[in-house]
Amino acid sequence: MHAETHSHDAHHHEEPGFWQKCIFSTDHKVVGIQYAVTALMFLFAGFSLMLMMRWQLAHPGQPIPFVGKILSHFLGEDMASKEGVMSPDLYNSFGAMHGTIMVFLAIVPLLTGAFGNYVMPLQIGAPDMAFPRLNMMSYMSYFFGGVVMLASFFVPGGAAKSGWTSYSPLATVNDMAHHPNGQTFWLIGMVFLITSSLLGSVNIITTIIQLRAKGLTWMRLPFFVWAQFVTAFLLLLAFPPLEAAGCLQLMDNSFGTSFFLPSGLVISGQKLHVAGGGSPLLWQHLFWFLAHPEVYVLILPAMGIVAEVIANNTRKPLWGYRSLVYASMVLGFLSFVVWAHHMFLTGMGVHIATFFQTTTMMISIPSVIILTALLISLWGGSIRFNTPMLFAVGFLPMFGIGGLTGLPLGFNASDIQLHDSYYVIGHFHYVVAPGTIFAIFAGIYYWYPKATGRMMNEYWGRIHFALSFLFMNLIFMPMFIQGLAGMSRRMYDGGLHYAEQAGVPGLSPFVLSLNKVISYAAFSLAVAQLPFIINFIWSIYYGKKVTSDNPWDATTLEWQTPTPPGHGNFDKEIEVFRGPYEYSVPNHARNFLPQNDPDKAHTPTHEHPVHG
Amino acid sequence: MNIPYTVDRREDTGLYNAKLGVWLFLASEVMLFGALFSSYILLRFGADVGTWPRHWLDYKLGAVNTIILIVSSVTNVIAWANLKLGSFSKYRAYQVLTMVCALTFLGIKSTEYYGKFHHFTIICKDGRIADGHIQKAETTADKVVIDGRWAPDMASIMDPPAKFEEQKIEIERKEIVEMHNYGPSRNNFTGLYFTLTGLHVLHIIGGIIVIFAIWGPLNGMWKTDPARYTNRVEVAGLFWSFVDMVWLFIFPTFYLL
Amino acid sequence: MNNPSNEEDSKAVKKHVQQHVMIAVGLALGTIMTVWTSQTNFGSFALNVTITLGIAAAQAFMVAAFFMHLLSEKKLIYCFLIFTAIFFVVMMGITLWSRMPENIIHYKQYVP
Repeated sequence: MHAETHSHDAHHHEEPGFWQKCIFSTDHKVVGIQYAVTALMFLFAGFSLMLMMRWQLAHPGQPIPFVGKILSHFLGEDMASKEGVMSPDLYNSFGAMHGTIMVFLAIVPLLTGAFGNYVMPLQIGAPDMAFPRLNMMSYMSYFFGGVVMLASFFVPGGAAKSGWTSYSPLATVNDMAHHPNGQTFWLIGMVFLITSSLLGSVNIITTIIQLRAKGLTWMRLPFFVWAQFVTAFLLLLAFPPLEAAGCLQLMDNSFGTSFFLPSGLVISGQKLHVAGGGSPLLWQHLFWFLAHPEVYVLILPAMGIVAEVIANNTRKPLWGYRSLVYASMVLGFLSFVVWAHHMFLTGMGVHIATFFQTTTMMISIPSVIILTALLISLWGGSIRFNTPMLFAVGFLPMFGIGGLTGLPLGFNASDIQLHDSYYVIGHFHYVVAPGTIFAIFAGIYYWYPKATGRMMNEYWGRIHFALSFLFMNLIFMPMFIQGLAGMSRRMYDGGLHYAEQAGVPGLSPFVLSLNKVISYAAFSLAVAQLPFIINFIWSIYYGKKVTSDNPWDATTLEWQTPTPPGHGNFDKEIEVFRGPYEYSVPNHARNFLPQNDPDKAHTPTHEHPVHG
Repeated sequence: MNIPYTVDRREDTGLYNAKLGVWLFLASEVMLFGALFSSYILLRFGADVGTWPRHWLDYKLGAVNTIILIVSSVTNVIAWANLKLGSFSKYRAYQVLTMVCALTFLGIKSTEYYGKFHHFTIICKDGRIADGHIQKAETTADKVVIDGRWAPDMASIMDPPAKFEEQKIEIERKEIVEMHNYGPSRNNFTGLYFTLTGLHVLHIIGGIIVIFAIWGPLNGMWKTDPARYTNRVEVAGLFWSFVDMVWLFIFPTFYLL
Repeated sequence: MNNPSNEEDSKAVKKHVQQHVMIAVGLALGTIMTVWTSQTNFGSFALNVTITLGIAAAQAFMVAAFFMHLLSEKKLIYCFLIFTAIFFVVMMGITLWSRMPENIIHYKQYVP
C-alpha cells in the first residue's frame, strides 16, 4: 500500500494512469526501476553475445547449436553461414557490441541510473531528485540510444566491428561501402547514451548538494552517496571529450572528413580518396580521456554498495570512513591523468610514458586504501552471511585480483608483452565481472525488500553466489595464462593461427585447450544465473513478506520510509543526528541506531561522529 | 510533493537547484568544446607545411556575427533584469530583440555555409587550377561555369589574395581531373570549421527554442509563480551567454588566425 | 528580490543594466580590436596568436563575470569551474605535449 504524502499544495494529485505512472513517470523510484529492468536485459543481451563468441572460440568453425541458424536467417549469410557458423566479421561485431553493451548499456546504467536513482535520494532524505523531468528524459535518451545500438545489428554490413574502442582508421574504413553502416549507428547511439549520462550526472550532483535533509552534513553521508557523487563528476567532465570525438568520427564516417585518417592511407591496394592529414592518435587520446575515468565509474558505485552491505552485516561502523571519502575523491581526480597507459605501445616518448606510468602507480594507492578499509571493516564484526553479504565479501578478493593484475599493465616495460593480450581481458573482467557485477547482485538482494516489500529467496541466493563465484574464476583465471603465453585478444579463431607447429614457436596445445575450459565455464555461468532470474521474478509475487520497513536492521535513511516508499518518499520530517554507521553503540538496547533517531542519550554533541 | 530550493536559495550554497544544475551543465560544455578546440590545435600544428589554409573565411561577416551575438547576450540579460523589476512587457520586448539577433546570426551563417558548398576548386588535366563559385544556371552536363579566378599554384589556393579580378571561367568536364568544394571533406580546416560551427549552431537553435518556449507557450508561470519564472529566464540566459562565449573563441580561431 | 516595490532596488537594477550595456560596447570594441591585431604582424606567429586569443579570453571573462554574474556568485560555482578548467588544461596540455616531436619515437631510427 502506498503511503500518501499529504502536501499542502493548492492542487491535489489524482491517481495517474498507466502511461504517467509507469512509462513517463518522473518519480525517481520508477525511473530507477526502469533503468534496472532495461539494464538487466542489456546485461543478458551482452552476455548472450559473449556466449556465442565463446562457442566459436571453443569450437572454431563449428555451427553454433540452436542459434546458429537463427543468426544466419536474421543477420544474413555473410554474417553466419547457412549451417550456422559464425563469420569473422560477426565475431568482431559481437566483440565490439559486447563491450559497448556491457559498459554503456548495462553496468553504468545499473550503477548510476538504477541504484543511484533509486537509493541515493532516499539515503539523503530527499523527496525526489532535484530535476525529476530531466531524470525521465535521461532514461528516455538511454533507452533510445540502446534501441539504436541494437538496431545496428540489422544495418547493411552489420553492427560496429572495430572494438568497443572504435579506433580510427579501422572504424571509419570498415564497412565503408555502406552508408549508413553499423559504426554510424554506434556513434549516433553513443551520442544519446552520453547525453543521458550527462543529464543524469547534473541531476545527481545537484541533488546531493542541495537536497540533503536537515542535519545531514557531508561527513554523515553514507559512503554509497559519496561514491555516486564522485562518479557523477567523472561522468560530467570525462564524457564530453568522447562526445566531441564521436562527432568528429561521425563526420569522418558520413561526411568524408579525415580528422583521424592520415594521409596516404591505402586500403586493399587502393588509395583512399580523402583529404588526409588526420591523426589516428587524436582519437585514442580523446577516447581514453573518457574511457579511463569510465572504469572508475564502473567500480566506485560498486564499492559504495559493498560498503553499505558490509557495514550492515558486520553490525559495526565502517573502518576508516574518512579515508574512504578522501580516497574516493583522490581516485576521481587522479583518474583524469592516467589515460595514456592504454597507449603505451603507440610510440610515445620516454618522458610521456614515465609520466603516465607514475600517475598510474599513484592511482593504485587510493584504490588499495578503499579495499583495505573495507577489508578491515570485517575485523571484529558480528558477521551475518546472508546473500548480499556473500556477494559483498566475494567482491573483495575478486577486486583484489583485478587490481593487482593491473600493475604489470601499468608499467610500460611489462605492458609491452601484455598489451592487447588475453591478460588484459582477464584483468579488466576480474574487476568488472566478479567485481562490479557481484556488487550489483549484492545491491539487488539487499535493496529488493525495500523496493518490493518481499525478500528474495535466501537458499537460491546462496546457490547463485556459490556457482557464480566458482565459474567466474574458472572463466577469467585461465585468461592470465593465455595472455602471458602471448595470446592476442580479438582473434576469432581463438589463437589457432598462432598455434605451435613443428619448429615454429607459438601457442601451446595446453594454452589453446584453455579456450574450451573457459567456454564451458561461461556456459555454466549462464546456467547459474537461472536461479537468480527466477528468484528475482518469483519473489515479487511469492517472496517472504517483510515484517518491518527495516528488515536488515540498518541505520541509513532509506530504511526509514514506508515499504515500498510512496510518492515523496518519507511520511515524516527527516532530521539527521549522527553518522551513517552507528551499529553496536555501547549501552544501547538495539545493536543499531538509525541516523534520524533523535535518541538524545546516544547523540554526539560535537560535529565528529563517535566512530570512524 | 514539493522539491525544496526550486525557487528559494539554499543557505550554505547560496543557490537554487536550477542555477547549480545549469553551471554543472556548462562545465560539461566547456569540456565538449574544449576537446574540439584541442583537436583543432593538434591537427593544425601536426599538419604538413602548406596544407593548412588561411583566409578562407570572410572575417567581416564573422565580426558582424560576433557583434550580433554580443548584442543578443546583453538584450537577454536586460530582459531578465526587467523581469526582476516586474516589467513583463519590457522583458518580452527585449527577448524579441534577442531572438531576432539570434535568427540574424543563423541567417548570416547559412549564407556562409551556402557560399562554401558552392565554392569549387577545379584541377584541370593540363595542371591549371581554377577557383570560384559555381554558376548553376549555366553549368551543364558537359561544362562547369564558375565565377572566380585562375590560380597560379596550390599555395595561392591555400592562402588566397584578399582582392582579385573576378572573371567567368568555363571548363569542359572532360578536362577536369578533380573538382572539390569547400565543404567539410575538403580538408581538416573545413572539417573542423563545419563541425565546430555546426555544433555551435545546434546550440544556438536549442537556445532559441528554450528562450522562445519560456517567452511564449510557457509564460503562464509569470502569473502563478513569478519568482520561479524569473529563475527559468535567468538559467536560460546563462546558457545563452555561454553560447556567445564559445563563439568569441571560434571567431578568432577560424576567421582570424 | 522579484517585483521590488521600492525605488532603491529599481535604481540598482537600472544601474546594472547600464553597466551591462557598457560592457557590451566594450566587447564589440574588443571584437574590432581582434580583427585589427590579427591583420597586424607582431613579429612571430606565436605572439600574434597569444595577443588575439588573449583579447578573446578577456572578452570571455567579461561575459562570464558580468553577463553570467559569476563575480557575484558564491564560492561553490567558482570551485566547479576551476576544477573544470584544470581538467581541460590537463587534457589539452598532456595531449599536445605527447605530440611534440621529441616525444614521438620514429621507429625507423632503430633499424639494426
